[in-house]
Amino acid sequence: MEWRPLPGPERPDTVDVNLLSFSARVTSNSPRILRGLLSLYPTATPASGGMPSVSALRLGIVKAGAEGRCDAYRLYRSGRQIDACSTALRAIAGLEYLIDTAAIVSLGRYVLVHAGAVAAGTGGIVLPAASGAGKSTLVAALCLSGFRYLSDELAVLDGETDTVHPFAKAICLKSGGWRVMNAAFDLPAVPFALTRCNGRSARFLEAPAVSAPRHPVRVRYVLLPTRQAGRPATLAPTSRAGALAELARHSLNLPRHRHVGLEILARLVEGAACYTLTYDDVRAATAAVTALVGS
Amino acid sequence: MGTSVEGIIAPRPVAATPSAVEPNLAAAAPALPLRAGHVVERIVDGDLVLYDQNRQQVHVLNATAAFVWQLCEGGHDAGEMAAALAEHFPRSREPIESDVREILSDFSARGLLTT
Repeated sequence: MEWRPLPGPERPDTVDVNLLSFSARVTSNSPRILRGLLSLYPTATPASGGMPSVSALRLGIVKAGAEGRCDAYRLYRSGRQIDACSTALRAIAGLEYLIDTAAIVSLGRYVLVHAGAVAAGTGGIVLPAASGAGKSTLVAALCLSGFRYLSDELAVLDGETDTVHPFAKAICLKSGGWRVMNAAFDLPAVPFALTRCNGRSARFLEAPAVSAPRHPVRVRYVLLPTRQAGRPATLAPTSRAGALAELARHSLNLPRHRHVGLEILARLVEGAACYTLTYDDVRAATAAVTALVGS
Repeated sequence: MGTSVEGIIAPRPVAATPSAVEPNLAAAAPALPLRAGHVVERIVDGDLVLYDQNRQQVHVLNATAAFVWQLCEGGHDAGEMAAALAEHFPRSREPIESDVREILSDFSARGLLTT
């Protein structure tokens, strides 16, 4: 399985970003901005005319001057200017922040967990972990080993169907994750790179196979990953209560759902096998997970 | 059955920002402890999980703490709980009453009991 190349140099004026039921429409006179969005959001599409069915956010970005000028890129929301940036990459980072924030708010009816998520067959694997724990790296490696991509940072859990939905942005690798993946896999030499609004630089990779947007999957496994230098890749069964506590700990909106959210998470772990995954080498971790799912 | 403060319950802050109120492990428990109304209970695969809806924390109780928790009905003091615990876990180490007091103090410090 290979990485697909990033989108080609089309010149659309408008891009629709679709994340589950959330949709944002971005219009720009800068092809570079729109290509950047297509790189960040694999399910985004050049607009074919008309408004998307549900458009929670309407953004515009106008290139008004030479790159480097403080107001080279002017950012508009619902027709009103809200920011100005000196470079295209900063403008894209600003768009990403606005889109992600609005998407997360609009998906509030789901229980949202800071977690990686992949699918194999009809079952899903959720990997809750803190930022910087290596979720994206592990998800990228799993996707290169045949798993379908759901998300590298947000598990969207549906309490009505006990499923996890895709939230398919491009996989975001920070510098450490990029080094690990570049050493272990054949990655594109020049991926899309960005300094995000939190000041951290990141490289974005499009997963080889993204799970179909309208086909959530049942969660079959909850894996609690921990990367430790020198440790062999080990999967060890862990209690469902402990896994529930980890999911709750990494939830972004459990306070909104309160006891109903806890019940959703409890049902999820009761229907899943729960393991800790300790590893150093990401390839070995991927092999262990592949063996688990195939067993 | 270990009942040291460490390992009685595993606190899991749910909110991105940890609770501003840090547990005070020296907090005194009420004489007749009663479970707080904002705490939701859920048994998951045999383990008792508590969800504190005020502090947004999830706790997983071990068997001893879970036993004590079930007795926090507002009608039993620590001595009575210790007696019940000794009957339920006859081979537990002594002194069991001080362990119960530690557990209750921990519950209280974490805001799980009605004050």
